[in-house]
Amino acid sequence: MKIYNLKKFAQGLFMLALGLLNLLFNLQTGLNWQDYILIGALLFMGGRLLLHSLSRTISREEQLDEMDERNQLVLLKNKSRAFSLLQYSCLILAAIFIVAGKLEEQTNIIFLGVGLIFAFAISMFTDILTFIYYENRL
Amino acid sequence: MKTKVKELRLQNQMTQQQLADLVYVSSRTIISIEKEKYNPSLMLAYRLAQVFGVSIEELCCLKENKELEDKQYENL
Repeated sequence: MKIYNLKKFAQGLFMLALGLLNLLFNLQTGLNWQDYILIGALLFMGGRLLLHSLSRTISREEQLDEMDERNQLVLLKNKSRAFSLLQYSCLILAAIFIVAGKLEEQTNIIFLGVGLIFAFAISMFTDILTFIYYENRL
Repeated sequence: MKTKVKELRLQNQMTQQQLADLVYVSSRTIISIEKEKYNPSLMLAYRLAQVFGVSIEELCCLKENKELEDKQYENL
């Protein structure tokens, strides 16, 4: 038996171990339907990952998919767009929370808005830092 | 970008999956190139050109595409 994808094998083992530990722990304390779903999902996903990591053809296909240049571009664009959307959402929500907080005279809501502005500031800072990094590297 | 991938693939009686397997990409990449939604990298263009036995210039219609791009630059 040969492991073709070590990362997937480790992830599978981790999930199986987590599922089994959950099962053992819940057998002592009593199982309810949410536990069955969680344990079932963990064991299923862990087993699937283990089987995939041991199959040469599936591992090869997955590695080809990972290396595929279009897939890499799709991932890159997706992350970039998701980040931009998150930034705009933070700003819009912050404005809504601050205005709502002022109108309702609720400081808690204003603090929520300030927190979101802080998150936006961190994202801008990260954006600038990564830009400088890639501007120098590429 | 316009390419001759579909034309040459059909001439060689290949499926998109067969071509994808030969150049180590997914069939979706071939579909996107044929639909002119994705521009292949230089290495992928070279691999495709080798499969069809043509030059990259011919495969990617470089002269035609350059003329189109030139017009875009002139209109700036």
